[in-house]
Amino acid sequence: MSTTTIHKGSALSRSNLVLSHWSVRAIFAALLVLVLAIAVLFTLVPAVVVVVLSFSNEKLMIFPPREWGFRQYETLADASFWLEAVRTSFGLAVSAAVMTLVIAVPAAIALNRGQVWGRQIITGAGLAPLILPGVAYAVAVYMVFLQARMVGSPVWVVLVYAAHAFPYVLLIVGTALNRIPKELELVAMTLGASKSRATMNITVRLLVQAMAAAFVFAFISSFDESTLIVFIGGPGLVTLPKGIFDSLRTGMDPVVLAISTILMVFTGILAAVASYWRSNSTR
Amino acid sequence: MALESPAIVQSHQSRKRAWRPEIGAVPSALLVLPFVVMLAVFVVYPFVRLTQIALFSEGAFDYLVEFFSDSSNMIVLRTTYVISAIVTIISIVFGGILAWTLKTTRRSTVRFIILASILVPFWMGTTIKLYAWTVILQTNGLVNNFLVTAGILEDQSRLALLYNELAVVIGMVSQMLPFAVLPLMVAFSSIDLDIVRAAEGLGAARLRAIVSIVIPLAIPGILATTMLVFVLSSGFFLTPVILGGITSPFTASLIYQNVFTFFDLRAAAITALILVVSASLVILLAFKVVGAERIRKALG
Repeated sequence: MSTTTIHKGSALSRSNLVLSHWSVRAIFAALLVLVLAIAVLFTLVPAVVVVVLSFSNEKLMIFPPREWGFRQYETLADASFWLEAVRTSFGLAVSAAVMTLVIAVPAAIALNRGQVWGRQIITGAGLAPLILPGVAYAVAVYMVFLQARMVGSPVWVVLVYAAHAFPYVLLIVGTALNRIPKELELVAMTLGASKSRATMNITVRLLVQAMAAAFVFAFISSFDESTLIVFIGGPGLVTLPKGIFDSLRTGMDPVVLAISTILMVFTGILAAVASYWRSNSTR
Repeated sequence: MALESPAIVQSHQSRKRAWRPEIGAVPSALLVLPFVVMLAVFVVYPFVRLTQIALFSEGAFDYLVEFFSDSSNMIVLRTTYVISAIVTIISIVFGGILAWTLKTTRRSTVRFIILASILVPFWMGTTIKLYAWTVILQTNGLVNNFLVTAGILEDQSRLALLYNELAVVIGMVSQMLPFAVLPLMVAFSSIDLDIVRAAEGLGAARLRAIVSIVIPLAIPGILATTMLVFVLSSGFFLTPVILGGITSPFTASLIYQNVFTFFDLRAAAITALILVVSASLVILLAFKVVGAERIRKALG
């Protein structure tokens, strides 16, 4: 009598254990699905909204659109205000990215290979624009622009954007430099190359992909920059993000959605290529 | 012969000097100089100028007292730090789960979805993203229209989802979450999955194995990421201004108003300086706790 109850009891508790094990797993799986769903909601829904609404056929931004079609893409060529904004953004971003490479790549090489006094401080200051709170940096730079009476000057904006993109060069090119053996240059020198020739033909050549990746990241970050420009651009210098920011209060032209969709595809391709270069250069 | 030998000696000497993989002090200085000048003018000097305007201009002390005794300013600062902390916690927890799932899952659809949700936001401009959130959250927007059409909500009682703290949190998380996942992936990358399997083999439940094995191993990377996300969140400008509204209680909106509505540059400078000081303290703390190398890694 007593033995059977014990037996029954243990069987019961074992099945309970199995059950609870399964229910824990089910709860885990459900939680995981929930978290994934929320994360996707947070990150992908804005992109989907922009792409889908770019196929609205309305003249004004009406939600939900009553008619769908390619109107926004067809009228793109006439949207001179926005095309001009894209051109401004593009010009500033390319100039800033070139300037970043020209100034920061030699510095990254010297910081990595040379004898530089205050290496830590220089690197820290170079990374600061990426780490410090964006709005604080923007206000600080704005004060200098006011003092120099340079608000709205494209040249000064390019200079700030270039400094703002230094971290990408320090991070990407710096990491790539760590992976290139210093001894390679010595080998070239034993074969008769001068020091500068060895540096150019070995180290710099091996850095090409990292530099290209840094260029693309600097370009994208400058093209998309939307905090600094509100302050230092003044009313005259309208980049694409500035134009969108200004129009948010007055009601937006849906052509912007078509432009944004096209740019998203471009940026996606650029970023994919740059990531490939980056992983190649740091392998 | 006699003409040749000095040349040989000279080339010998210059070779001798150059036979090091390091770059000498003088060429290094020349290579770094433009970079240092740019940093001095466009990174260091702006903060010097900011400090000067906030603390050392005429009547600065009285102004500071006035600024700090204004309770609305204090509410703004508190709201900013509380919201930044909430955004950081959500981003780190969700980002951690995404990064860990990406490392451990064998399902290609799950991998694809996670990778897409990390990468696609990087391809979109910040302002257009905020525009999309406005469309989603506004009174006549996606969410409200869906709820009314589905019959859950009356047409008259549409929800006010925009221009409040919730909208700002949603907007900020949607930008910080992809940003948080990448360094967390790096933090998890060095963890050997066999250790987790061993713990489970020894009887630990999956959750216990993660809590007592994975998190302690990844904690330096997690802390560095947490610090970065918090500091960057406290510096958000467009998101609070657009999704919270210009009069919302955030430092970003306060700065925007002081610069563009009241032309009170000193108040803007003080607010910005407070953000810089708090950010520097957080970064210093992270330096002490996890070290510079971890922070550098968390940057990407």
